[in-house]
Amino acid sequence: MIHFLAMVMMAAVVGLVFGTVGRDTARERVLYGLKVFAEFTGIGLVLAWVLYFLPL
Amino acid sequence: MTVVKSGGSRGESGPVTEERAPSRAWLMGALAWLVPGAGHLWQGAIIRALVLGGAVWAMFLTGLWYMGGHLHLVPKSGAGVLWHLFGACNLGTGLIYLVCWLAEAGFTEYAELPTFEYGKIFIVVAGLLNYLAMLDAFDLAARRKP
Repeated sequence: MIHFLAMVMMAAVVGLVFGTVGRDTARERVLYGLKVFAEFTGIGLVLAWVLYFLPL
Repeated sequence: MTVVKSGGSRGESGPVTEERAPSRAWLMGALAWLVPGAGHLWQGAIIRALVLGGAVWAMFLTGLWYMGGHLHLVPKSGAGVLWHLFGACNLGTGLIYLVCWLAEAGFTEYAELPTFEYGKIFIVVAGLLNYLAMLDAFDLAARRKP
């Protein structure tokens, strides 16, 4: 569980920073930050499932 | 400062104006690198300073002390490419890294902790985010951003 929380925390902080420096208006910042957060979390979960099925 | 050049790289005719960043922008960039959030704070962008500086500090402190991550010494002899890459990322946290270096704190590996690798990545990401914040402070001072 702590691994998932660490991933979510990192995604949230990166989304916050990317949203702040990457866009100019408040609305664009929020949307871009949420998009980055969702991408980090979503891709992380997909990769976790892919690796789960691989015999490593 | 403005420099006027003749011609352009794409074959346009006429003079091309290239604006150089003022020295204040370089100073703000350096300050933002040295102390996360300070470059924006100095320019009066308090919210941006709190968000960017807070994010870097939070990532660094969480990674180092809560998760048991460690810093990479940049000039370590005989180290691999990856070590130097991580060291360059760690260096992005500026004064925090330099203080840790002088105090010899934060370089111990706690491999027995399950979150050890996460902590290491958190510190690396903190440095990279501060490089981004540094560029943002530079652009803000050079009036390339609103």
